[in-house]
Amino acid sequence: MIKERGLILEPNKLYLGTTVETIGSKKFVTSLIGRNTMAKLGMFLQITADLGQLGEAHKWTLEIKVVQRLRIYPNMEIGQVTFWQPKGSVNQNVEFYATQNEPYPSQLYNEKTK
Amino acid sequence: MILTGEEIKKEVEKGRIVIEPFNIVDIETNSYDFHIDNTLYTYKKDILDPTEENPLEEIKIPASGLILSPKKIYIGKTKEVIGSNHFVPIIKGRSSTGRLGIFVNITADLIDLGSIQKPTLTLHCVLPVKIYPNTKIGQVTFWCVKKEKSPTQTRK
Repeated sequence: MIKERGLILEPNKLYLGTTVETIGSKKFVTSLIGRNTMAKLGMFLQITADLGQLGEAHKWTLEIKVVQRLRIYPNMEIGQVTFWQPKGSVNQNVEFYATQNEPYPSQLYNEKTK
Repeated sequence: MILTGEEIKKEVEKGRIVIEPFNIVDIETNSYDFHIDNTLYTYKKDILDPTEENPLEEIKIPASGLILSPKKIYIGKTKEVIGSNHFVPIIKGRSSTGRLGIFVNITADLIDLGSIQKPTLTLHCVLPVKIYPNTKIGQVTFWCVKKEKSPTQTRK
């Protein structure tokens, strides 16, 4: 838990978290990136995976890494979302409210590799 | 505008986007998942210098997996040839790799219009992590351009 007085993030760790907000759209593709105020302090928000799926809305799992030790606080404005116009039809098998409202670990182990 | 998965499929069928090999199961809602080529390279030197040659060492990803070190950058490429003369590809990580702390590129995600090749990946991990051959490591998105580029810019 991030306490009122803040939590110091360590450079050699990976932190998973979630947004406070439920975010998504059936009409636009969501992309989630860091704010430049946090970037200037050396925080990566999302580890090159900033792209959302059209039609999904949920609290976003955040992947956080810092370059130097950095103190963060509860409820701070940490990132920003952008919405992009899609071109083309969509395969409508996506559930709008996905279940990923808790920090969601990688599911890569579920994929069989050849 | 970003192409939906359905639109990516249509453009591949029309030959306006190249993804080779192309597999329908790797289409996502608004992107296409790509796999890692099993040859990676690391720098032999500890301190890199952009004004000098930085020799590379080849590493194969064995079937038993390769442990990536957070202290290194791994240069790799996709298994698929990817590109287009009509849409700009942008490479992204997948959430499942991002959540393992794997960067698939170092802030350079943009591919030139007309560049049709196996895009280079610059892998970096936050914690030691094992990767396996043919892992679905990232995804590529395709973006509309305002004006068709001139044919003289074509490069392979």
